[in-house]
Formats: sequence, C-alpha cells, structure tokens
Amino acid sequence: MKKIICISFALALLSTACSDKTLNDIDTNPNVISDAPLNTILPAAEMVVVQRVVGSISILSGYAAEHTNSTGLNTATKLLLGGAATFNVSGGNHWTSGFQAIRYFNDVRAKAETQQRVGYIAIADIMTAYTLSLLVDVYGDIPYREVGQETINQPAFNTAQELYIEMQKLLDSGIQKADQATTTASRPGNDDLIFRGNMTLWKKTAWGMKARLANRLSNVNPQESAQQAIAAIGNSFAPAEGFIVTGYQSNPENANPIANNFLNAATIAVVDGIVTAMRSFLDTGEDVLADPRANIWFTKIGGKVVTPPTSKANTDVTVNGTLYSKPLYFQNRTSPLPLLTYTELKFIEAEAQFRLNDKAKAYAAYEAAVRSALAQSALFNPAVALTAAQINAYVARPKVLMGADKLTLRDIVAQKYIFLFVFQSQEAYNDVRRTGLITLNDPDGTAKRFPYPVDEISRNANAPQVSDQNTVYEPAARLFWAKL
Amino acid sequence: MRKLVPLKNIAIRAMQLSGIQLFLALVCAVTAFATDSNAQTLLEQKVTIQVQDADVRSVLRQVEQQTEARFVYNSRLIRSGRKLTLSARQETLASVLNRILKPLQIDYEVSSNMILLRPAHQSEVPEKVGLMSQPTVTSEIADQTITGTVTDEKGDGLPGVSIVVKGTSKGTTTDPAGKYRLEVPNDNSTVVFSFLGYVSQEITVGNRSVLNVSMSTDSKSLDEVVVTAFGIKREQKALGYASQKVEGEQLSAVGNTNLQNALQGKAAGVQVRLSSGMPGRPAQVNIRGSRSITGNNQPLYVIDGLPVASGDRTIDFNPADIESMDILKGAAASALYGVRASNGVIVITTKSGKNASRKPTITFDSQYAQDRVSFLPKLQYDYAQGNNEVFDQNNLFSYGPKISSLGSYTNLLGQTEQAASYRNMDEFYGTGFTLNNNLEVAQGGSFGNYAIGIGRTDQKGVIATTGLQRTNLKFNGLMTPYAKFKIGLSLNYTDTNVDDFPDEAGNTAFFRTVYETPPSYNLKGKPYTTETNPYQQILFRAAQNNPYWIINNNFRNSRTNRTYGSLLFDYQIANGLKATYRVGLDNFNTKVERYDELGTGPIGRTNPPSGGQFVLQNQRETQINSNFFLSYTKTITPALVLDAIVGNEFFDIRRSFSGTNSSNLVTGNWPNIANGTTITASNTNNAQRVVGFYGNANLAFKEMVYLNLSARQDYASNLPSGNRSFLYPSVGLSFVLTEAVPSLKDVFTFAKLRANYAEVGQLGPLFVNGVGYSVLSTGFLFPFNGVAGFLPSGTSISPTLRPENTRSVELGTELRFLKNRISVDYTYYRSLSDGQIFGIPLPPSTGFGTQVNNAGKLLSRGHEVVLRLTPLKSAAFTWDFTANFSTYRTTVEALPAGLSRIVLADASGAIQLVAETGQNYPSFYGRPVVRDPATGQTVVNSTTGFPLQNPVQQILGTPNPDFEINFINSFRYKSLSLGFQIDWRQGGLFFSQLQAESRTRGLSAETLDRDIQQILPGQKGRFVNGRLVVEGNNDVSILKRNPYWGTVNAIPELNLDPASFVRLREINLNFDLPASVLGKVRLSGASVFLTGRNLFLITSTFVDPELNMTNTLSGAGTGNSVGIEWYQQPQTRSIGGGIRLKL
Repeated sequence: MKKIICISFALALLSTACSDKTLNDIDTNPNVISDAPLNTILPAAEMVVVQRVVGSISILSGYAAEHTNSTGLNTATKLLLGGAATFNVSGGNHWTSGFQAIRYFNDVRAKAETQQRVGYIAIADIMTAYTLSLLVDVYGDIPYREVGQETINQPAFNTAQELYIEMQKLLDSGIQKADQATTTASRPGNDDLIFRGNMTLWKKTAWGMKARLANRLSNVNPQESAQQAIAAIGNSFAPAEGFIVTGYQSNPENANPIANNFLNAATIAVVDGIVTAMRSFLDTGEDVLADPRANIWFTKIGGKVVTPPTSKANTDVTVNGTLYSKPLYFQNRTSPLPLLTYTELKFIEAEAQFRLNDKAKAYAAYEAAVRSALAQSALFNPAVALTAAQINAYVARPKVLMGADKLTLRDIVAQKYIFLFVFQSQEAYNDVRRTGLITLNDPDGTAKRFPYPVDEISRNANAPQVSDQNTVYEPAARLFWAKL
Repeated sequence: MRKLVPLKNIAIRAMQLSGIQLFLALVCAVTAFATDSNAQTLLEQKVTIQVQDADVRSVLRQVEQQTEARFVYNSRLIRSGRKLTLSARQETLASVLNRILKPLQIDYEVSSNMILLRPAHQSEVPEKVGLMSQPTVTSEIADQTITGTVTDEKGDGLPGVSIVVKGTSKGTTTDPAGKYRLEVPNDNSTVVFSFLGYVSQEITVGNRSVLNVSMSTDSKSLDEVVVTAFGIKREQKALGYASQKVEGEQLSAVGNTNLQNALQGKAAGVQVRLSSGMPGRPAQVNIRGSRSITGNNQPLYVIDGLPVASGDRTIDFNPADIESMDILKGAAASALYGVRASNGVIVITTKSGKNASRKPTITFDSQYAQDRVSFLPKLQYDYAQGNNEVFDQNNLFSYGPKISSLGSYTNLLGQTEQAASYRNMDEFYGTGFTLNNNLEVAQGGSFGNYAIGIGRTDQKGVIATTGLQRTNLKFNGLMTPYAKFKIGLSLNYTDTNVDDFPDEAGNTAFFRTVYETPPSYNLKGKPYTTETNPYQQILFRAAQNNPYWIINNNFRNSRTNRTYGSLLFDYQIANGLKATYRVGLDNFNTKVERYDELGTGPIGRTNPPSGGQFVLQNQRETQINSNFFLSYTKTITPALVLDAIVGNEFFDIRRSFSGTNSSNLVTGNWPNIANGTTITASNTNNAQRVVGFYGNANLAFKEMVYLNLSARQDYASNLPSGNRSFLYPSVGLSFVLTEAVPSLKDVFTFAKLRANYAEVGQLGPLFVNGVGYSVLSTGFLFPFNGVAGFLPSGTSISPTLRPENTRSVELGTELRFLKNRISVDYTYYRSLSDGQIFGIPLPPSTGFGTQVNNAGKLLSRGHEVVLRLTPLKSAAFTWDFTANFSTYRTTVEALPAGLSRIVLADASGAIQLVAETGQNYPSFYGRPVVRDPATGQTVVNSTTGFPLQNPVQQILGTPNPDFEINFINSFRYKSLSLGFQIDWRQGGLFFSQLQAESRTRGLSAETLDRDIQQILPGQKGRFVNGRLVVEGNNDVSILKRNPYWGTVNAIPELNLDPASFVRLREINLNFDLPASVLGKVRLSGASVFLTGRNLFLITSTFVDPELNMTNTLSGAGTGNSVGIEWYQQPQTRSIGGGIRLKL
C-alpha cells in the first residue's frame, strides 16, 4: 500500500512537471512586455529613421554626389556602393532599418487608431512617407505594401512611380490627421522627439515634403510638378523653421549619427565635387577659401583645402586630416540634423518658378535661398556663424547674384548642391541625378542608384536578381525621374 | 635467473591486460554457467598438435579448439613471440599442458573448463631439487581455511577469479557463483584476488574465516567497458555504435588547463576548434561535423551521470579529476539523453576511488610549465613607417624608406631619435606559466569507495596581467550500507577566476597594434601616455590603442563560483531488477567586471581623453536534473539475455543575467558605476524544462549478436503549446563475427560488425510562446530625457514549430589481429538533420529580422578509423601507437524556399561564412578575383595591373579539413616512458585578417619585394558598363606596395590560405622511480616527468590556423564560426615538468 501511495504521488508530481500549463508558464518570456504604450514606440521609431536610415544614406550619397569620399582602406566610392547595404551607421543600415521603421509606424498607426489618438496617426503617415522617400530615391522600386505583414515572407516590389503617388497620399492623410489632432490627449508630447507634439510643424513638414516630391518629377511633368511644388511651399516652413532634429548630446549614444560616425573612424575627406561647385561662383582662378563657407566647412592642410583624387585616395584617418581636408561639421556630436528646411524650399521655389518661366519670382526665391543658405551654413556650430557682412560680400559677387535675366537653372541647382553639403548629401545626390547639372569627375561615372543589398536578393525571389556595384552604373539603372 | 615477482607488479600487469583475455574470460564465465564438466574429465580430453617454432599463444588457441578448455592468463605471462615446437598425437590435455607449460615455468589450475595459467613459483617447484624433496611446502603449512564470495561491482558473483596466497603457489578459483574456499598458512597471510579485466586486490587474512571481496573493473584493459547513457556500463563489443574512451591521464598529462584543449586529437571524429590563446578562452568541440545550421553544435557533457552546463564553462572542469572520458559520438549512442544530446555526449567519470585499496591512497601531483607564444607571424623589419618611400610619422603604413637609410630624425615627442628597427611583437609577449597541483585521497573497501580531490591551477598569460586561477574541490564516493543498496555522491566545487581582455573588432581591438606598429616605431621604449595626462595615449597613430597603455589601464575579471553534483540511489529490488535514481544540481554565478579606462580608443582618444566604460555583469545559472530508471536483467535461455530499462528524466534550467554599463567616464582610475555619465542597465531571465520518458531493451544472443532498441519521448517547454511532445527511436545491432564463425579466429583475434539507426532532435530558442516589445537598439539610447523607447521584436515564431530531427545511420567494424597487436575500428556515418529550427533570415524588406521555423536540411557523413598498434613489445620495451583518422563532409541539402544562403558569421564585411544549398557547411563567401572565361586565368586590371575584383560574391571554399589524423605514440622502456602526439589536419581554408592588414600596411614579410617591378601572371582586362573585357596577356608592370595590397585586401579569395598543418601537440617523458627507492621513502609510487605542448607547427598560414574568431565578434550563433582569425591572441608553447607521488 505504501508503495502504491509513493508511486502515485511520484506520478502525480511528474505529470504536473510536464503539464502544458506548467510548461507554458516556464516558456513565458519575462524579458519583454506583450504590449508597449504608444508613447514608447513613437520615439523609438522616429529615431530608427533619423539615426539609421538618414545616417548611412546621407554619408553614401555624399560619396555618390561627390561632396565627400572615404579615404579608409577599401576606399573607392564604387566599392562602398557595392557594400552600401551593409554600411553601418548607428549600428544599422538604411535598407533594413528603413523597412523596420515602416513596420513600426504601421504599428503606431494601428494602435493610435484603436486609441483614437489621431496626432500619432498623422506623424506615422508623415514619417512613413519620409522614410519611403529616402529609400525610393536611392533604390527606385522597393517593397512597400507588403512590408511588415507577418504572413508575407517575400514582399513584392512596388514601382517607384506608384510609390511617388503613395507618398503624396500619405502626406495628404498626415495633414488631414494633424488638423484633427486638436486635443492634447490626441497627440504626443515630449515622446515626439522631433517636434514635441507640435502638429503645426508636422503639417508644415508634410507640405514641405509634398513640395520636394513634386519638384522631383521635374523631368516627368515639368509644369505640373512646378505648380504643385509652389502651392505646397506656401503651406510650409517660415524662415526659421524646418524639419530638423535637435537635442543631440555629446555622448556617442545620443549623438548626431553622421558626426558620430565620422568621429569613430575619421575616414571621410572633402572632394572635388563640392570644391568645384563653390569655385564656380568665384572668380576664375580664385581659391575656394574665398567662399566664406569653405573656411567654416573644411579643415585645411597647410592653409589650403586639399582634396583627394576621386576614388583613389590614400588612407587618411585623422580627424583634421594629414593629407586631405576633412569636413568640419562632422566634428560636433551635438549638431542638429537638418532633414528639410526653409532654405531648400526656397531653392525648390526658385527652380519651379524658373520652370514656369517666371524669372522674377525665380530670382527672388533664389536670392532668398542663397542668403538663407549662408545664414544656415553654421547650423552645426553657431560659434562659426557667418556675419551679415560676410554674407553680403558673398552675395555681392556677380556670379552669385547675377540678375534675374542671367539666372540659370544650373545656378539654382549648384547653390542648392553647395547648401546641401552640411548633412544633406542625400538630397544633393537626388539633384545630381535629376538635373545632370553638377560637374563631377569620378572616372567611374555616377551611380544611377544604390545596388540592392545582397541579403534582400538572396532571400526575396521578388527582388531584381542582378544588382551589383557594376550594374548600377548602367543606363538601365536610371530612376524614372532622373536624367543621369 | 630466478626472480621474485612482486605481487605489486602482478597488480600492475593485471591492469595491462589485453582485450582478448577479458573476452576469453567472459566467454569462460558464461560457459561456466552452462556446462558442468569437471577438471578431471577436461584434462583427459585428447589433443593432437604438430607445430614447429609456433607462437605459444596460437598453440594454446589450437588446444582450445580441440577441447572444451579455455585458457585464462595474463598477457605478460606468455609474451607474444614466445615460440615452441611440439609434436603430440592423441595425448591427454594434461600431458600436453605439461609439455607446453613446464619449459615456460608456468603452472596451471583447472576451474570448471577454465585453465588458469600463472607463473610457477620457485618455492613450489625448486628447479634443481632431487626426487627426494617431494612433499610440498603448501601442504605442510596449511592450517587455516577461509571462504567467501567474490562479486563484481553490481554485486553479482564473479566466477573464475584467481585467488593466490601471496608468496606461495597455493591458490584456487571461484566457482560459478563466485564462491571459493582456500587454505591459508596463517593469520598473516596475504591473499591476492585477481581476474582479467578487474583490478587485483591484496588482503591480509587476519583472524577472519570469511573474506568477501568486491572486484572493480579495470578501466585500463583493452576490451573497454564503456560508460554509456545514464552511466550504464556496457562491454564495448555489445555496442551497436562507435564510442571512444579517453583516459584521464591522457587529458592531464601535459598540464592543459582547459579540458577542451586537452581533448584535441584524442579521439576520431571529435573536432576541437581552439579560439584564442588568452587564458580561460573556451574552445569549440564538434563531434562528427554539424547538425544544426544556426543552432548548437556542441556536445552534452555529463559528469558522473549528471548533465552539466558546458560551452564556455567547460573551463571549470579540472582535467586532473577525470578518471576517464567516454565519447558517445553518434545519435544511437546518445539517444537516451534526448534533445540535449543530438551533438553527441561526452561522458566524464571522475576519480572515485573504486580501484583503490582498503588503505587510503594519497596521490599528489604537481606540474609546472613555462608558456611562450607558439607561432607568430612573419613580419618585415626593414622598412620604416610612411608611404611611397617617404617617412611619415602620422602614417599607418610601413611603406616608407628603409630604416637603415633614415638616420636620425625628430620624433613626434620632439626628441631627436636615431632610426632603428624594433621587434615590437616579440617584445610585447612575455613568459607565462601554468602551475597545476592536485591532491587526491582515495579509499575503497567493503564500505564502498570514495575519492577526495583538491586541485589548484594557476596560470599567468603571455600578456601581462592576464591569467587564470582555478580551485577545484571534489568528493566522489559510493556507499554500500546494505548489500542491495548503494548511495553515491559526487560533489564538486569550482572557483574560476579569469583575468583577460575582451576580443574587439576594428580600431577598438586592444592588441592590434602589437602586430601593426611600424618596425621603425619603438613601441616598448616610447612612453604610452603623455606626461601631463596618464589617460592621453601616445601611439604612432591616433585611432588605435597602445597595447602597453591597455595592459596598464584596462582590465576584465570574471569570477565564477560553481557547485555541481549528484546523489545516486541504487536499490536491488529483486533478482535482476534494480532501481536507480540520480538527482543533481549544477549551479554557478559569474561576476564580470570590465574596465576600459578613460581615453580608451578610438572613441576616447580625444583631447582631453574621453569615453571609457565600466561594465558590471552578474550571471547565474541553475540546472536541476532528475533521472529515475528501473533496470531489469533476465537470462531468458542460456543463450539469450535481456537487459531492459525504463525511466524518466527531468531537467530544468534557469538563467538570469543582469548587467550595468557605465560609460563616458568622469575621471580616470575609478572602476565604479558612479564614474559614468551614461549608465544603462538590463536584466534577463531564461527558463527551460524538458521532461522525458525512455525505455531501452538490449538482447544478447550467445555473446554473438546484440540487438538494442530504445525510445525516448520528450516534453519541452520551449515548443508551442499543444505541439511539444516528440518521440525518438533507435535501433542498434552488434554482431561478433569471431563468435559466429570460430574459424575466423585464425585470422582475427576479434571481429565485430555493427550497425545502427537512430533519431534525435534539438530544440530551438527559448520562449517560443509569444513575443513582445523590448528595448531594441535604435542607434539612440533610451530612456532619453524621461522618454522610453520600446519596439516590437524583429523575430516572428512559427506556431507549428517542432524540434529538429536528425536521422542517422552508422555502420562500423572492429577488427583485431595478432592477439590485439593490431586493432582497427572503422565507422561510417551519415546523418540527415531535417526541419532545422532557426531564425530563417527574412528579407529585410519584411520589416522583420527572422522567422523561427523548421526548414532546411543538413547532411553530414564521414569516416572514422581508430588504428591501434603495438609494433614492439618485450619485457623492457613497448611501443604503442594509436592513429585517429577522421574525415567528414557536411553539406546543406536544402534551405527554406526563396532563401539561397544564410550568413552564419560576418567578419566585418571582409569575408562571410555561409550556409548555401548544395555547398559545404559552412562555406566562405565573398568576392573572388576575376577569371577569364576563355583561358581560366586570373585577370588583372589593365589600368593598374592589380588583380581585378569580381563584383559578384561567390562561394570560395570551406574551412572544413579534408581529413584529420592524430598520431599518438607511447614508448615504454623499463620505468621510462615517452609519449607524444602529432596532429595533422589536411585541407580546408583559413582567413587571416591579420595577414590581410599586414600586407596592406606593409608589415608582413611578404611585402619585402616591394621594390621589385613585376608583372602578375594572367590576362589583363576591365569592366566596361558592367561587362568584362579581356585585353590579352598581362604586361602591366607593378610594384607590390600599398595600392596593390589594398586591392588584394578587397578580394577575399586572395586572402584565403590552405589551412593544413602538422603540429607536435604534446610530448611527455615520464620516469617511474624504482620500487627499491620507493620502499625507503614509504611511497607506493612516484614519478617525475617532463612535458611539452605545441612544440612545433608546420603550416603555410600567416598565423596559427587554429585561431578562430570568437562568436561575440562574428555574430555567429553558438560557436559555428570557424576558419577566421580576427586578431585572436596566439596559442602558447609550453615546456615544463612535474612530479607525481603516491602514498
């Protein structure tokens, strides 16, 4: 009897030891929360875009647009483009992080809809459109509609054209939702790390994005794109405003991603593309340092700005450069990160008016843009801000302000290209390809786009299977809105 | 020449018995039950023999064939090669035996049908005694009778045990029930019990009339008793699978502190991949290739029946505690262990005193070895820092002018310096040492047996401030309070303290500049900090760390306290029915403190110095293991014996981790959390439980055919609810050919065929029942200004997840020739692992990272041969030789749909290890050099003359060797023995980052031809609009300088080298002090020895090809990264010696 009791006790113990409930309890992950509040997801998702998507696209675009180049080992621009997808900034690469961000904002939108917090929806829409634009413009066709769905393991690619329509829709929706976010409860506060819940600024960002995207189609639909851009600009930023990330700190963990990346391995040098563009507004033979911005942007080697031969730089990894000039704005971890500013919109306006043949309005916008650009040139370090006298002296140059009649599209684009040097190479690369008006000298030519990452090609049968560092130089790789 | 044979030597001899004797003994033991012939009738059987100069042993075998007699003898008694000539026709066995044995001075005794041979004692048969001296001494002095039972470890009677009164020829053997009766001269008589395959025992009679003795198996005998699943001992011949035993002495002989390193080359099919020579670095052990694409491929370690945490924590085990190690290689061998054992099992038996005598034996050994780095890369010492022959003190290259042409210059410190060449690498590494001390007390007797061990290891690394201290305490014993009841306790405590430096990549690496400093820079002689600020590093370049600054400022200390042990209860319920219960606990805590001083590069190398961090981590793991089984033995018919077990195993693993990282330090020299301005902390908890039910049946037919069937059903917590149970069956067959076809014995001493089929599985990650939100890295640190950041997991988990399943087939044979002088064990295996669980890497565009699911197939197959030879064997000199040969191939048979390859490890973008369908697992993947499709020649860039990189990445080969063969030699001359092991690994590729960098930087000796104009062989060509255009034979003359090597660096294929090597892994020379000396100092044994490790290495690689990137660096899962070196510290070469004393 005793034995039987013992055995049945042991058996009972055993069966509870492996009952489904016991095992489920053991397998419940204590290290995660099953659901997170909106005000924790939104800031994280925003920073994924800003730190990881913008960071590496901007740096690589700088190489492609010949603002800068890497002088590390494996230096050639061409090669870095081949490894673009694995180019890490802030511990992530833009392709992977970009789609993660789209998924995260889907999550924000879904949660916000259930909780009826419409301000969050607006931000999710606008940030999704912005993230998409970053990716579409450097890759062309990318997946979007099937992104972030757990049941779809190989998302289909959407064409860049349809995504341009999609982005405008998202921005329209964002504007509409931003208008509806009238109560404090409906919108974020400090958890919105970009605008602290200021829905007006989000709305202006959306309008600015609409203008930028409209203008991108200048080759596709010159007139309509110009009209749409001008209309949108009217609703966007005032002079002191912009889609600018601020609040960075001096510790590497909370720093401006581009500056921080440079300070970790100071391989980036200033190259001929930017120097040539700046000199094109100076007198023939005049040193680039005559442009007041050159002094505050570039380090000097023996008092001169020295650029490496494109794609063939020797290694120079010192912060200030021993062989080549380095971009000074990379040295401030606390520098704000501009993503879309009033200045750019003025350049877009100038270009659009120029396309609509309104030279006077175009010239007025151009002058405002250039002045604004010089004023903003020390954004990374207010201590080196140009004085009004310096700005006036520069704009007084006949090649800068040449009069409405002499204004050319190249002038507008080139001044914009110079302006975009500080942290906004991604937009410069777009203009380089869209207009074909920037003088470049990379013997390999200009990459039409970035090659798709190997990880995507090898895991997704829907991805274009041939995409490497050579094919992106072929004419077939050209984006639908581009000339180059 | 009449020599007294000390009984002690008989005991030693008994330990050196060869397999065939045990085999015979077992046969005899069995037939003893079956037949009832008495000695007289046996001796009257007729024999006919005609031999000339024949081997005595073979003659005896002929006698065995003609009669029912079975001879049992110590192999030393009749040395092989002993010849005799004999002609006998229909003579009685008694007569023939006299004719054979008398000249050999061998006496015999008959028990049942066994004839036990032993040396004829002088006192009994004095050689030159006349007929008158007839009465024997024995009959005169016999005045006392003792009786008793001799049992084996299971408590069963042991028949055929030889019992001799020491110093006389008086003796007897036990009957089939193990009982005996013996007349002894007096109380002071010592009786010696000996039996083949068992350890001999000497017992003084005293006033007892009953003397029961329990014999324990001698693990050193050739026909091994294998410790199989759950500690069940089985004869090797009954096994349907391959297993290999490694003796503890082999593991501890040369003082390896790390068990895994010691295991290198000791067993066929066991691949040991070393990582780094830094103290305390674990190696990676794989048995028979890989089964899991991204999961665990390392075996389960079982110590005294208790599965324990292994992996990185195998460094806690003291090799000196190990009695023996049985390596269960295949799925069939390990099937009973269930899910944890899919990668094989290493069954460790620690010393337990079971062979010890009644008197406590105290063993002390002490080993000391001096360690130096073993294999350093060949660098150049001629050219100075700079580029294009221009001296430049800020340059990171050494393509400057010749140092000899430099004269004096002003260095960066403003001093005038005379140019000289410095061997910075050689100067950096110092001399380390390893000191092992082990003390063991062991005792055995009727009460049971025990061993208490204390071990202490002190290691000082070749890099200053690194080292390891380990203290091991152990108790292992067995008590037999009642005849039917046994209690065993194995208890171990370990304190492991490791001081080392972490492996870091890129410029963060701590010791890169040991190799990468230009030879013109006096690394050791120059200050490493500025005078004004001790945290401001000085180096030849700004970004990296000065290694001297690092060792003087940074540290990492890991301290682990570990207790593991098990309790065993063993109860003989009824005849043949036994219950065994073992419950065990493995518990450890590791505390890690890491301090990177303010100013640690590259981030902190600012002016003023910044950065730095203090990391504090606590890790705790508790494993509970419970195992209950009933075993049943039944002799169904005399020819058919059944062994069966059923049981239940339960294990539960809990891990917790908490870590605090305090970075961007306020001040230097203050390793404290409060010192940081950015403080992050995290903690995680993990849990897993598996409950398994199992059964095993083993049928033995006439010691000839063994059939084994097993099944195990597991329930695992980390499988989806409702889908968490699964069954693994196995079947094995062993067929002893020499039993089935006795005539084969003319050729083989022993021949066996074996085959098995088994399934085992492996579980996936923990916590499959739901995912959630956590703090994921966003490239921005949260919480930030009071705002938290959470993101949903990037992993999705399939609701239909099931365990991985490995189905394996194994075929093998075991052949022995010439009385075991030659033995060959051959195995072929094939295992197909299906339904791999892994985080299937999803296209990044899904927004998810991975989906945990079953997909993909991995096929491993290979051959293993263990060859054992005794080429020479004489009284004074013996040469034993073992060769372990293994070759295997693991290929990826399938990956999930749409997935062409999976990246297993990414060496900072330089090269990847991947799993690709149809390719070896793993394979190198990267960009090759362009080859001309027409000629197959390599193409160089027609502009630069440098190799042209193919933009399309390809499979470049595999790190897996074609084969590995280990030669283990052991020579014994009288009391002197010499052993050495040579490992030869052939084939496979190896990537050395240090080589790639040293070339690009002009540091490698290979760059000494930099001033010679040369034309690379091959074609020239270029890419035009993405298409290759070949433009004829290359005629572009180049200089192999930085631009050339920079180009080579970017083409991974050109940085892969053949990984083949030959290495003298171990050597030891041992001298046993003679008994005459020992007697004077009251020692029962003493030896002195010299040891050497890694004394030479022949390879064509730049660094030691056995360095492997650690997982943290590669991002690889559980140790699946091999064949890539990434600034790992070199292994050491040790020379030392020690003493071993036995009281």
